[in-house]
Amino acid sequence: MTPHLTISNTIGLYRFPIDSIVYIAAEGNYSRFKMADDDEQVLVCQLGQLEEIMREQLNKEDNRFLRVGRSLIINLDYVYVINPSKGQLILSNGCGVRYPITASKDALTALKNAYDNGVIK
Amino acid sequence: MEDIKDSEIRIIGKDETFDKNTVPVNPSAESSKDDSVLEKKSFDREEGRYNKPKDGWSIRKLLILFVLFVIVANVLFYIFKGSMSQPPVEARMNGVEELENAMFDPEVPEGQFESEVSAANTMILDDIPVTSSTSAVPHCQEKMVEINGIELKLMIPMDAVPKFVVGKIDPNDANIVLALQAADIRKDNGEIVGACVYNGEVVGKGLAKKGYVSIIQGKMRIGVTDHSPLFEAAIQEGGDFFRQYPLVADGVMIENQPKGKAVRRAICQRGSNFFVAESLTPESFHDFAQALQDLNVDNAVYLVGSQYALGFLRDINNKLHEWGESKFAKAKNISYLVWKKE
Repeated sequence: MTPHLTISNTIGLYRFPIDSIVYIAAEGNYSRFKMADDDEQVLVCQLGQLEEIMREQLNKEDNRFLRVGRSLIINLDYVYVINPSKGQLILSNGCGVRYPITASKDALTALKNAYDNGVIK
Repeated sequence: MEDIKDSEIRIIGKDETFDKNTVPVNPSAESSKDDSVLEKKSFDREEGRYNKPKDGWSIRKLLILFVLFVIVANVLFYIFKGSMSQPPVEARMNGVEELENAMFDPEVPEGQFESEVSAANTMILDDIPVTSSTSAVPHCQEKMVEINGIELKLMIPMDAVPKFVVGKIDPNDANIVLALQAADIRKDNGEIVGACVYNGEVVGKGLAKKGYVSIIQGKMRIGVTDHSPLFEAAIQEGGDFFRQYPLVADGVMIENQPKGKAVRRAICQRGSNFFVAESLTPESFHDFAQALQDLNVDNAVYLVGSQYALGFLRDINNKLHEWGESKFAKAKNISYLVWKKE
């Protein structure tokens, strides 16, 4: 069965299929999950707290999630186009659905260089 | 876990953070082990090579410590000085925005506002009617009270259910017994200020103000908190949620940063009853909140104030009373708190 990211709070319990998480965007004290089926879920949880939860729950060999700056966590499996000059990152589910998001040019340059230098494979 | 800058990236599960030069900003524990053999190194961008790190405190850490020291010293100075001109520390920690950003609530210089009611009837505080089962006809009752010299008009919706509405509403809609502007709108971009959910859809973001009003399945709740689970509940259950300045929480007034005077409005809760209070004269946030506390409300959250903000009510004779500047009715993202007949 696909591993899940489980988040429990005062409202309830959420189980996100890890493979289907495309990205998580910070919105103040809230975080918006974007899923591969285009579904969205907003939770009362700061991105830093989510990162901690992911560190605890993800397999140690699982390096597919990347924190990009202060406002974004992306699933590297979905990275499609990195355009640092425009500050644009396009994620794709490989089936024609694209998720364009913006990030700082420096962070995207770091991401591109990480691919170029083999830090991320 | 170290904090991260907007210009950096970090693989979750590893502690290494990279900048655009692919230089580890904070080497991980694993890297540190390697470094213990090869000596710890730092990258010199000008020289283009790795150098031995400097021992002791880095300049950056010393600078941060110095800035922190200056901030703490300033805070202590103002606390001991007891300066009245300084905004309360609580308000600054709350991070509340200045009202200058809002489209409404322009502050009124003293003397430029003429009260429509010259003298308010003083009433017994316990005389505020409950909001249901008092009449067969849904309507809005008006009560005038004077609390420590501040004249307030109380608008008490009777036998009606609350709803949050984003967009235009029609004063001729006979089902609406009370309507008032709810969330603030930014002057610069027309967006709703603060986190906002309308019919389960997120229509506003951020935490500019810590007061909240939620209406989920017809049940209204108001209060003060940084992040409320009611936000999520509103999304999941198709409800409503918006943020405004908190005025009273658990019977205790809350200081807010914006200065100046304007006509103030608030949604108030006493027990299980909700009503709206409006100052008949321009008042400061402090004096208005103090009056609401003295009115023995349990909780109160601000609504859009000023003589320009739009609203209307229907009295027991079904007569419509409107106020505000109609030219604002077309404002983008204008929102209302309304009470409608069930």
